[in-house]
Amino acid sequence: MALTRAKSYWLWATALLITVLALLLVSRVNINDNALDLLPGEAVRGDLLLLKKLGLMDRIIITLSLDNNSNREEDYQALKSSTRKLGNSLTESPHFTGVLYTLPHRSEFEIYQFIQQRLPLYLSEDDMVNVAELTTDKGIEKALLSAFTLLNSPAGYGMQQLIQQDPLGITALYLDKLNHLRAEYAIQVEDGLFHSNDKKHTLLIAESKKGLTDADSAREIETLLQTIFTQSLSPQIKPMVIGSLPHTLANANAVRSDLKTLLPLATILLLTLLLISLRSIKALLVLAIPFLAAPPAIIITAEIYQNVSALALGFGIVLLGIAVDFAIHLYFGLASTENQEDFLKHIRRPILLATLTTGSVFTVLLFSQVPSHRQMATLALAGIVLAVTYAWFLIPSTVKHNSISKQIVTAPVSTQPSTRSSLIKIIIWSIFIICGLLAWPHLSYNGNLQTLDAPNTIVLEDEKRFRAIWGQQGDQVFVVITSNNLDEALQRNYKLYQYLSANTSSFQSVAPILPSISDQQKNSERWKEYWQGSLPDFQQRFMAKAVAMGFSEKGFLPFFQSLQNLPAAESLLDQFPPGLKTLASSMIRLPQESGDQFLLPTTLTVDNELYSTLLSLEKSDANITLLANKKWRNQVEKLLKKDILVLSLAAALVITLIIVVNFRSFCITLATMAPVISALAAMILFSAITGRELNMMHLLMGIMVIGLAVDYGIFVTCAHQWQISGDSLKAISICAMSSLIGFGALSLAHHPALNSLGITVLVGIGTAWPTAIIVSPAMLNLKKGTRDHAKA
Amino acid sequence: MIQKLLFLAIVLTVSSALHNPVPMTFANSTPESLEKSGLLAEIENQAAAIKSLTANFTQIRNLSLFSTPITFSGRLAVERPDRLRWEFLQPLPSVLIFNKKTGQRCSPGSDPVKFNLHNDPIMRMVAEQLWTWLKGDYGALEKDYSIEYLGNSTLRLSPKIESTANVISAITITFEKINRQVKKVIINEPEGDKTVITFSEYRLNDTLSPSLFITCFGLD
Repeated sequence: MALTRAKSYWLWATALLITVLALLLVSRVNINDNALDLLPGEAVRGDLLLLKKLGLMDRIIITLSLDNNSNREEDYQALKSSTRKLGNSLTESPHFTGVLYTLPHRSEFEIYQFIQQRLPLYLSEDDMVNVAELTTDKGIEKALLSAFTLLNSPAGYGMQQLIQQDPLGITALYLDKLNHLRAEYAIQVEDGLFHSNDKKHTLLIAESKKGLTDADSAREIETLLQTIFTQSLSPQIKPMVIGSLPHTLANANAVRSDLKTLLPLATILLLTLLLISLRSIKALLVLAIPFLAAPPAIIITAEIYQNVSALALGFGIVLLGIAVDFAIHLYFGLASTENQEDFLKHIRRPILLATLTTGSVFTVLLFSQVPSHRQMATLALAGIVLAVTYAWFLIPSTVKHNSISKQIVTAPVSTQPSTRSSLIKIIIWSIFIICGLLAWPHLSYNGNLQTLDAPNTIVLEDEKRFRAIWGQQGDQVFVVITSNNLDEALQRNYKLYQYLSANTSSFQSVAPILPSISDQQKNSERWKEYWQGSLPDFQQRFMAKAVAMGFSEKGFLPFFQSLQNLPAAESLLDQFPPGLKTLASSMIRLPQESGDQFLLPTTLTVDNELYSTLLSLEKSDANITLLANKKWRNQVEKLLKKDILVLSLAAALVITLIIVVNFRSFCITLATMAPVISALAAMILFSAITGRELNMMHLLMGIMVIGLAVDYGIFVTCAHQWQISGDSLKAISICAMSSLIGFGALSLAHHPALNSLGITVLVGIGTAWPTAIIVSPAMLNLKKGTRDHAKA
Repeated sequence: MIQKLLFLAIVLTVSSALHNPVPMTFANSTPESLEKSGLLAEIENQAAAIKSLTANFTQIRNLSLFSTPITFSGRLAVERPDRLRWEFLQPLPSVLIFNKKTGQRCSPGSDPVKFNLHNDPIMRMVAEQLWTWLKGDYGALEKDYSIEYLGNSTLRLSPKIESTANVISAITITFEKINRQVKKVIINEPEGDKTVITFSEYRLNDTLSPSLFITCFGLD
């Protein structure tokens, strides 16, 4: 269609207006990252949301260290005073909660007394077996001798009352269980503060009230922390932070840094390519098409998802390379033909076909289980539809016919290579495909979410140093009891505690100090039954030995009275002394903290056997959830495999159907699909040879490559069939190079998710391109040769 | 008139002087406080000159939990500022050692129980108590104790800190007249319990073997 100059200006003005309006709106779009959007499946996301409710995802763990490994007493004092100041500042700040850095004064005595006064409520069936041992003659003698020695030693001042109330040391027996309140860290409590074994480090834990998986909140908290550190710490004290915060910041900074560098780089390279290949300043107009399409596409995506992730924007770099393809084909065709109207009539079909196939692929991706994939697919779909529309209306208004130099016109597609050379090309190609098929079973999948993490060197070093200071061993898991009813939750937690006590020693649980009311009643009943039967005999034997040793006859009356007094079962949480409250606070989440339920986590390190048992436990009880990286990895791997197969098959089927319906010929379909088959085979071979494991990002790219590669096949086939333009191969090459520039830029990204996208697709498109310009024409020529031969 | 007023003033002044033998400007410096200051000064001077000491002791513990007072005897070794060995010999041997910030408690037939004063509040309090009457720096104790002079080279220390007062209500220390070493300590606990420790056969500034503060038994 011949457009008048005025109409041409109107079209461009309209396009520019839309883009400018979109740009104004883009400035208001919330660009943010939530790490949870990279996760597939509701189960994994559900688990991680539970971690968030437990406060673990927003936990900040701070280690304060003496600089230069000093041994001076004043530096040790500076470490203690800095710890207290920092702890106070965090406690007073409205941005943090659950600050843990000290045990209150006299905690040990208060905890001892609290337990001792409630022994009947605490002692389980196994504990009563130990109590029975203490009440034997041997047990009594040993206890009385120990009490006698202690009371007469300098350590005995003030101990009389404790010994009078519990000469057998039953309380001390139970206190051993309080080791399960300790975290896995190798901590010494000194002057109420949590010190490392060498006393050169202290530990503080706090929970951010803002979510730390969100990049903006993480930045805000980071700034706050730095201010508090400056105000609280002496110059020789150095802080180190681990947890979600440094990871979120490292990821966000990596993506943003990559975007800042790669987006301009890709643009410049693309512009250079177009200027060289088109040799006209109008290459700028061709390049303008994707840039005109991008802002409205971002607005559409933001409207649907409320925000746009920086990762999806990173993907936008690739979009530049894809969206420009249609403009390139149009420009080349229009510029090298005499009859632009005729060209447009013929190019309409392949452009529609290509848009349909690429659009179908992204539509299939909308069904991915990964939210960020769906966002990328929406962005890509909107961008491509807009780019095609703009290209269709704007490029014809810009290009003059025959404006491309004759020098860059290549031989028409219809030039026939020999049948023999076509056959050789096809055979070589077939061998390559077979190799790809053979490599498929050797692919491995990695569902480990950490592969998509981009911690920088400092973050990794800090975590290593943390483990060295605090002795943290191995990967931890959490077994979380959830319930709307506290007593029910405590009962389940206690059962879990009893099971773990029999099977492992290394776990942290609040169960020893917080049995449910029904468990307290059972324990109390058991205690009563035991002493009802055995007290008279025990008292007689005990007093005989005590008097013989020099104790008074009435001295232990408080003890015997306490054996008969039964404290009432009650909600112990409300009765805890301050020290116990502090220790328990990190091990129980109340509904007002979690948002809905009571949550009781048990932290432990597991071997394979225990892990399998815990998995079975989770399956058998809906109120038990196992949170473990190993479990998520398995789930993600399963989901990933399923997604790869289902979505890839769906994409391949949809495309094949479109091609078959249009061309209605097996050979032509095969020639059109050859670049797709090559791309997939190349990506499989590359992963297998390099030993790279496939992750979620490879899935995304595999599907995209199907959509891109088939476009090359479509244009080659259409050019062959309808003799559209002798420059189709050139145009395809420029399209391929533009995509390679986009993906190549991503392969330079620091963020592993973006890097995975780039490298793998570079391989795919890098193979689809030569297939489109060598193998597909060979197939088409062979078919044409066979038909001509048959006619002859 | 003026002469009568002057005479009255003189009489009043002399009267007050008779009733207040100490000049008004020195009302706080009683004989008792002077004697206390003098005793404290002597004790501190002696302590400064003594780097180590050993002594025998007899302890009589009078607790309501015991039917009769219990008598223990033993030996004490001190190397100032922070090493101490408290050894019971009769009737039941046991040893308590403080070596700077660490220590151990030992009984025959059992493994030693080691402790660190930084994270063991009970043993920290025990150490503080023993050093209260063995360190010799009684002047510094006035921050935490009210110190009263009872005459006859005897001081009574009453804790000001509530947590200490809950365990020990008062400590009465009698010093030797000549070498100003601790002769007798009476520890009064709330509820009327009492411990009396008498020291004898002091040996001062001997060279003490380091193993005294490392090894529990088998030193003889």
